[in-house]
Amino acid sequence: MRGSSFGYLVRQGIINTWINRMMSAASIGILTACMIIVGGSGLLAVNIRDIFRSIEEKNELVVFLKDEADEAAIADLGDRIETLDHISSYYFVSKADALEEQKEFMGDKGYLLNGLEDDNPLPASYRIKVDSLEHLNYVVDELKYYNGVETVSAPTDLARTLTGVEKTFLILGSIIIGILIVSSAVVISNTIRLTLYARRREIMIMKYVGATDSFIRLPFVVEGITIGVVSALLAFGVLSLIYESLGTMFSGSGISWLTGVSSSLIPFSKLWKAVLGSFLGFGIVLGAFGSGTSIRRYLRV
Amino acid sequence: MIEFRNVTKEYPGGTLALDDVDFTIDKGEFVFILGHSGAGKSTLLKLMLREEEVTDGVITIADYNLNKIRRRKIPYLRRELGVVFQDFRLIPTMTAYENVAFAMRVTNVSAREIRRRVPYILKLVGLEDKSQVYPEQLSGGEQQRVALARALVHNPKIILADEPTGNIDPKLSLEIIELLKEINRLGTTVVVVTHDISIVNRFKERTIILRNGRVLRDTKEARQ
Ligand SMILES: Nc1ncnc2c1ncn2[C@@H]1O[C@H](COP(=O)(O)OP(=O)(O)OP(=O)(O)O)[C@@H](O)[C@H]1O
Ligand SMILES: [Mg+2]
Repeated sequence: MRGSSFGYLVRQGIINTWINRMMSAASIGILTACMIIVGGSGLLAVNIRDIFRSIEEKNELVVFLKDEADEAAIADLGDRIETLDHISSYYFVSKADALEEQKEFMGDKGYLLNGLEDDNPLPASYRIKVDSLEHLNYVVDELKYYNGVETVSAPTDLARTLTGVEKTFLILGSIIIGILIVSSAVVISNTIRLTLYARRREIMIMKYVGATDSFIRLPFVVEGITIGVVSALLAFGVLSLIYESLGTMFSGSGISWLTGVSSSLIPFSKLWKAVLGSFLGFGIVLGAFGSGTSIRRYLRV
Repeated sequence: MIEFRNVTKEYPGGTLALDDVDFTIDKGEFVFILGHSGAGKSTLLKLMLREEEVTDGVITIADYNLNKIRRRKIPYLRRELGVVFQDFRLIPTMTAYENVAFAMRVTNVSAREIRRRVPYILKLVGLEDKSQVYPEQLSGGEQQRVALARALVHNPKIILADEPTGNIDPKLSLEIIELLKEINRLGTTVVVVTHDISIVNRFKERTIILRNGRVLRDTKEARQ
């Protein structure tokens, strides 16, 4: 297609959006709302994920050993941990190391533990980091009844809750987003259908004088994409305002846990590219798809 | 140029619009297709434009076999055909000039070529003074000529005119047929569909008479 024709068709598409501005505005409104909801859920999700990650990183699993466990049993358990899946790192803390650690922890009161070296009450242990909270239970179950293991201490309840929350969130979020995507596509498609109806005579004449389908389709695709892009920009503006002002509101609220939340919020400067990019992508794809589906019927002449 | 081989067209309802129609129109010919209402004239045109498909038989137009043509190629077939519709089919929101230019623009012709070609064609049909006028301000005969200009602007090999005399008075009818004959003299094949026997009698050109979907008479074969 030559450049001048392409320019002409793109102009036609933008003019159509304007001529049909009542419907265009309605679908831009709905699409913008959808994007804000989807984007808002997305931002919430990444923040929750971020909090999960930091919890996961702090949490380690401690396998305490029985005092009677000998070198062979300790080495054997080490081999077992080595071959387990989902373990990102582990290290051994001997009874002496444990005492040393405890002394350090007690700071200037550490001298109180002097003299315990020969009758050390602290158990030796393996400290293990798991790659993800959802595998915590598996690792605990594998090691709990192992030879020489006294007890395994791990935040399994927390892990169960967090993974559960994350899963529910993911499923609910996907359903909502799915519904919103479908309804946005329907709205765009209906808007384009109005333009198509208003222009059906022109389309028929275009067909008779030998215009190709792609030529006829382009202005309508441009109209859909225009609606998508305008919605993306609006949604981006609104969402960035909401996000920033929530942050300021939380940190200035004087309520300690809210201040805590605001300090752990991911700053918008780290997110805006992804948000804008996915809004634009979402808008362009939906716009093109919505107009493409509604025009098909008119091309059958 | 146009070949119908034993063409039958039955519409979904069961109407047999064309029944074993067989004729050939050569390059540069001028042909009337005459028939009463419902004889199948418009069906003939729709088949040529590949708006409808044959039930049986073969149609060939300007080297396109319409039975085998792929969907993507249909626009290119249509560019070989300039069609003047009975109801003109002009776009009311565009001037005479824009109506003609539109047909070129949507077939990917350069802006420069459009500026050169449209005034020339409007002059050919005698509308150079009316180029900036909207269809509703034009008389029936003038609208007819805009439609003709639009059909001609691609320099098609074939002009198909469906009832070009249907909506205008007898004097204008003669004028439009004269114009079509002029175009024919410049080398374009012209097919005029009509139910008006007085027009046909006046011009003594080859005539294919349709009755109830069958070719009743073809004056070319009669002369041979
Ligand atoms: N789309 C269609 N579906 C079913 N039947 C049709 C269709 N189009 C035409 N017909 C029938 O086919 C027959 C031929 O119709 P056609 O339009 O070709 O006639 P015509 O010669 O152009 O008539 P007129 O001079 O009135 O325009 C008629 O009986 C008509 O009712
Ligand atoms: Mg007819």
